[in-house]
Amino acid sequence: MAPQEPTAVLVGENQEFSQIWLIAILVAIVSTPVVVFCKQSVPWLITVPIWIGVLLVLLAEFKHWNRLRLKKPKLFTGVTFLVVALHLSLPGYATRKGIIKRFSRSVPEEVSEAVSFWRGHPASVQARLNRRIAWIQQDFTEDPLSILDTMDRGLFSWATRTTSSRNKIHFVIPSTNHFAILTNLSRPLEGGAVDWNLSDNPPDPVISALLENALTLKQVALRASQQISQVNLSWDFLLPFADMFSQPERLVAAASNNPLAPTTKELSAFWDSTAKILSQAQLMRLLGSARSGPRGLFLCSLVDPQSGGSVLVLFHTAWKPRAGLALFEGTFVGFNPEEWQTEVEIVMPPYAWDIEKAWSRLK
Amino acid sequence: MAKFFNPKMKRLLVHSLGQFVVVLILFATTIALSFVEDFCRRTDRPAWMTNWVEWLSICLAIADGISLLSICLIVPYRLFREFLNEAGEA
Repeated sequence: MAPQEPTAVLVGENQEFSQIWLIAILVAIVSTPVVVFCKQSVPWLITVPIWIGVLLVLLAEFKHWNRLRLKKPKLFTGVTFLVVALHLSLPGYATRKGIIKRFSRSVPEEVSEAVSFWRGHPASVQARLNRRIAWIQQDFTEDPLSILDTMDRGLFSWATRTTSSRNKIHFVIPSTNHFAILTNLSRPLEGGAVDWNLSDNPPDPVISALLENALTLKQVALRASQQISQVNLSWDFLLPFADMFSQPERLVAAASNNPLAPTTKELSAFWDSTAKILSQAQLMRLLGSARSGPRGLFLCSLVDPQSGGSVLVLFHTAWKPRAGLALFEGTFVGFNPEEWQTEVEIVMPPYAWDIEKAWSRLK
Repeated sequence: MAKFFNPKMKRLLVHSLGQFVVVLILFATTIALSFVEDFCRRTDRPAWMTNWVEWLSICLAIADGISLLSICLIVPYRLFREFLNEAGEA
């Protein structure tokens, strides 16, 4: 009786692929939470469990290495050594000879950039910031009001000098470290005192109402994007990237996905200037709009002719001001807050948005 | 050459092809899940639904990546080893 070939038995054992799937699924289940939680800050992290899984599979595959009884092991060993040697030496040789040109950015460079970022290297911070702005631009192009998701919220009130009516303003603090205001200019003041509640207090009913407003805005934006018939405003110009990272500490904080909360001094200065302009604003000018039937999204500039100050207002509405069509001709018209029938507006200082680009598009 | 394509080798090739098909199906599922996640975000579906789809999509992507890379490395290795075994027996 002829002896059985050991190699045949070994190859038959290793033909099973179930261990690959078992390792792949286990590694995926274990690593998914880490990858999800670090998705924004370390986007390349998903490659780590993949390579760990491949390494485990290869180790499981090669654990039968010593059990192989090849009749000519020198041939296998020699060919393997040759392949490994070529693999290690050819790239360096080809690079030196100019056969292979290096990619502009390789994985090690990305890794070193990420490491240097955590050490606070300015160039890496700038690169990371540029990527983040690109993400914001992409999200904003797809859904203009997605910027609301990145905002912190608060509330203050002011009195309109021309009509003596009091108004309440919800202000929002974008993660891009600019101030804007989410407000309703026609809604009367319910309280009397200035409320400085920030959103660290989740049960705050104001914040709940603002979140509902933000959801309404998003739904309006979704409907508008689905059945939009007239667009005068390019949404990508509404990105708040104009001079927004002038301060180094804000630059680092924004790039680290941990934006700084505004200081009391900054908030007070913004509140004083904006409330003053809003209380004395007499003129308004439509900068752009996206309309869908009776609904629309508008960007206006409110101007105080005495001080020359201005603020921008982004709002959606079934809005019918007395100014009528004159506003849509791009000219300044009188502003009366009592005419406003909007639900929600976003008020922001002129430097919060790249208004120059918006103007160039509209001209 | 005829000896190289023996039944054992053919079975290995068929099994490998089957694994590739499964990986491709899972990749298509992962891509479909990413579209579902995007749809959930755009239409303001409940957060738990969006999160589940996102987690499942990432989990499948990792499993796909591991299996695809492993199969791409192991199948040529096994074919090469089988070839050497046949050459050794000859």
